[in-house]
Amino acid sequence: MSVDMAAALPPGALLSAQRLSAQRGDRPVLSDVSLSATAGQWLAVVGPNGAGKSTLLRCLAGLLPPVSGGVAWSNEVASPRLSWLGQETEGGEALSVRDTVALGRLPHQGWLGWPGESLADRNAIEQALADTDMDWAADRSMQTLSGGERQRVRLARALAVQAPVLLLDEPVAHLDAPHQSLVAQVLQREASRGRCIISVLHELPLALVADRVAVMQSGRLVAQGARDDASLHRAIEQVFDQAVRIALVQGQWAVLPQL
Amino acid sequence: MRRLKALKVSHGTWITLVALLLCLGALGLGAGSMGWQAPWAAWTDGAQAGDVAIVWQIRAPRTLGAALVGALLGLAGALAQGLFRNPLAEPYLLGSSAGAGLCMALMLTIGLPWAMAEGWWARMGLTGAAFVGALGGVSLTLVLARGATHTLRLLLAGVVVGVVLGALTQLMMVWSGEAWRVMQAFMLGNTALLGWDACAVLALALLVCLPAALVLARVLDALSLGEDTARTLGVPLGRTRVALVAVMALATAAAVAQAGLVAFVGLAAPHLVRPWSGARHGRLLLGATLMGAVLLTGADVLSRCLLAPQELPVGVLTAVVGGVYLLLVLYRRPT
Repeated sequence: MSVDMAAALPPGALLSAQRLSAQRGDRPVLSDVSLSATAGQWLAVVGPNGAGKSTLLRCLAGLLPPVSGGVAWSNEVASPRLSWLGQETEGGEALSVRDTVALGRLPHQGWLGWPGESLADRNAIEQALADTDMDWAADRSMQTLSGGERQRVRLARALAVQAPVLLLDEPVAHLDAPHQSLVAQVLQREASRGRCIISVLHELPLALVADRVAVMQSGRLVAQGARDDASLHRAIEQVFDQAVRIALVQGQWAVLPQL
Repeated sequence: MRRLKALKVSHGTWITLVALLLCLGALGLGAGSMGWQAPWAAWTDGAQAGDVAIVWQIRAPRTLGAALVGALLGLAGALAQGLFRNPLAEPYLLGSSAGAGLCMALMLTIGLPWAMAEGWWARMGLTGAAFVGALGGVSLTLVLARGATHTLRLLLAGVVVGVVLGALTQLMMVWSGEAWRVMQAFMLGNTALLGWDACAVLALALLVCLPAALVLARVLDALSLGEDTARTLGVPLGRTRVALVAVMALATAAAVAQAGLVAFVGLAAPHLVRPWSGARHGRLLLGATLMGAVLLTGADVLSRCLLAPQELPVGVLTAVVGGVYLLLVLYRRPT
């Protein structure tokens, strides 16, 4: 299975999934998914539980080999190509917040981490901590933080990589509303700087802040489009069994529960 | 921050100081006409030739050897806990010590003349055999446990491998009376037979293992974030795992080949030092190495004092104390 199929890449795309199919054991969890993402764009992937969103992200990151299809990367993407924030429970609970974020700079230092932090590394770490509002806890142990604070540190670690492509699986999980907004602003800023962001989101209002939204159901990509696209909204309402309705409220897309 | 670093340095200095004091104490302990002034007397021509020989040919290599064996086991334990992301991993519990013991018994049974010889090359040969056994033991445990993420399965697999390989070792010893005699001391863990040639092998192993482990410390840091994250950070997991298992097996093998099966030092040393060193593996590996040296030198001193003038095999002492410590660690763990 070729992972670098740059020749098959759509024009302007940084990476592209082409007819991806994947399995967990014998169970197919991803079927024939094709998706492209360009620089300067935030793509949100939404869908109900078990739709294959995380599997798609793991395939894009090269962490799960697909059973068919492949992922093509543009030759213009510089190394390190991607930042990753996964759903797996990260260990390192005894590490300090700063040490955890500093590990995001490992790709810039070589995997042995020698000779150590440069000025650019230190700046990136401080920026990532400030972006996630965790700079106040830099010297604290991860063990002393709440679930939401730990999630912000993990996000800071992913941001510190400063890769052209960010693959984020539920980056705002456990976060309170103000910090969800903060993360959305940071992701919008990163996209405006030319980064390509693909994030799995369960928070539909936040997903409708992204530039584009992809909707998945039962391992298939059922719709994708710009956040203002009415047919996209109908697809989202449909995959969630009409339990939500998307409406424009004071100039912003709101997701209203249908009780 | 600066105060915090100073505190950590001072802890490292304290551990080193305790290790040195224990070494000095160990030089003054044991049979002979001299008492606590033995090291000084041996240094200043104030002692008889026999006493000087006791200090320099018996006590000094034994003390240095114990410190080096403890250092290697502490290092191996810290590596195992970091590599398998499991705070209860250690060479003894992972079956690598039992594997090393089995291969040594095999060597002693089939290659008696050279394996039982004294000297540098015999030591190196036994260490090589123990290295192969240690690699085999830990690999078997990992296969049986289907990886290292499940603590209970890992511990049970380690126990099974330890018991089975231990039984095979006993079987070898039953076949060969000579091997039985030599292996008895090894099975209990013994520092009494450590000489300068053993010290040379141990020092060489530490000189190889410690720098190699420190070079791989950042990889262990990255691994603590999970395999997926480590992989996306550019860590070549396959190669580094092999390198880390090899370093751990070499440290274990060198220790086991010289001093036999010494349990729980590898488990306790990283745990004891972690509150001071922090979780970053650079400091943790160094700290666990120092703490391992302190623990085994202390155990060696105690093993000479507790039943004086008789001596307790040091492995018996570490097994009893370490077993209680393991229970405490298990009791304190939430899951």
